[in-house]
Amino acid sequence: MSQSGLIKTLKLRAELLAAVRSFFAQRSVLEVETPVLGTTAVTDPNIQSFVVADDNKPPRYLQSSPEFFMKRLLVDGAPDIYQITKAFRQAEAGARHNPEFTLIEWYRREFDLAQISQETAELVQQLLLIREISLPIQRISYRAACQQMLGLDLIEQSLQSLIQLATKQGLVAADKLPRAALYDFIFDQAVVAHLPQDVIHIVEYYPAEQASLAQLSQADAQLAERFEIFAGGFELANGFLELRDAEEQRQRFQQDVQIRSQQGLPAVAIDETFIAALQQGLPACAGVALGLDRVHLIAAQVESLDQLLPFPWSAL
Amino acid sequence: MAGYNTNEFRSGLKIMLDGDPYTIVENILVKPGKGQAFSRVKIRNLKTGRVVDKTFKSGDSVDAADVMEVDMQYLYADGEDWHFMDQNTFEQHAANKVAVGDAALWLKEQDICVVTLYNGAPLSIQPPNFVELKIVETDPGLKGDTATGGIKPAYLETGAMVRVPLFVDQGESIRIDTRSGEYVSRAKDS
Repeated sequence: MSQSGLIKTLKLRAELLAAVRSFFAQRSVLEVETPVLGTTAVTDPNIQSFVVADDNKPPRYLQSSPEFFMKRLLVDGAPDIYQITKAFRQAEAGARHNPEFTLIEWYRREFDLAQISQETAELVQQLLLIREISLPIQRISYRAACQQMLGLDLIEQSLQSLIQLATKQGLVAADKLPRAALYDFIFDQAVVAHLPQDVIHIVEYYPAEQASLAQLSQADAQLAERFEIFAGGFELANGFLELRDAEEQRQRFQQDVQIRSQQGLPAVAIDETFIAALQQGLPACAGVALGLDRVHLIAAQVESLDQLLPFPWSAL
Repeated sequence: MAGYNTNEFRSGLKIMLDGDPYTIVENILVKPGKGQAFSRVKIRNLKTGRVVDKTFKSGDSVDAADVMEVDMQYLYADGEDWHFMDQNTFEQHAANKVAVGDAALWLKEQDICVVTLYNGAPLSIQPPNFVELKIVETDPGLKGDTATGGIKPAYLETGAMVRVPLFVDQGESIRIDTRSGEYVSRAKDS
């Protein structure tokens, strides 16, 4: 990076951070800090956490997101809260991925999916305006997006049909993948890739198999109260109407543990303190995680994180 | 042969897919924030030359293709095959019409070519970027003939046809860019 390029990117990051703080101050959302080092990793089989040695004690893990600690704060009575923090994920390096990256995560009591997704899209809109990039916001359901780009409803397709679709789109060994992974591939390859880039898209109501930590929709059990934000060809944010049922959460974690075992991935223990907090009672809330580095990529109009991170992973 | 894991994927790696050898042109990590990671690759079929996009689940393996690129000296053609020699091992290889393809237009004895070997046999031949060949037939250029735009066809010792300036004569050797098939200049020792 040239010196002038460096100064530009440092200034833009500083402006983005200031704008984030101003956005939440206006909405009376409180900034918090939670531990980056925890005693468990996440069970999600698609995420591998970094392990940190701690002498002769059990190792600690760098967070892949501040979710569990922030929800525990809510259980303990915290008001609406946000955090700007570093998250860490092994083996994710590329033009759009750095194993260490900056997340903005926040939680709003009593918000529903429509409200949290709108607020996220508005934050993205305001951040991009810092560099005079003015994008409109559009809302579309996962199903409608599939219908538009693929001419069919992915959720209604049989497993065989999904395998065929994925194979046609160039996925090798599609028959070895579960439904959720086929959704990931097809949706990214055939839907997201064709969303107009000059719009901030709220894609809402993901398939139930991809609920993650979101509640299932009461209106349609095939859908989850989950949304994502896409703009400029990038996935920017992911949010939920948060699951509050401790037993259902434990079951989902147990499924993760099983998948890890089946795929020969490192075993991860379920975070019992998190389950205990849910049992105590998570207030009704919606939460979201926004990738600040990705927003920075769009605002700076560059293609790769190498061009905006002063110290990208590969160069360290 | 061994296999490669997707986290070893990089440009130039030779892999097998659906029974054909491919070279990786480009490799990109694709991963949704909460979902399965994939490796999206652009690969070129070394038999057909076609480039396709394929995606692999991260962590999957593919068979390595036994493909090597070796510099070899072109010896001669016997009407059926073109014969090359690896100057390090003195091993000779015979490449057929399919493997030689368009390179036949530019092969001159003793020139060093890049031979792509697949399972030990020639798959394709790449001639040197520039080659000097003799014109065996061309009309004399008539002075003042501007009707043809100052160029005329010339037939080379290999059978190739190249457009040359009017001042170039039959019997002369000329330098050609094999990538474009175009006349560059008269040969240095013409």
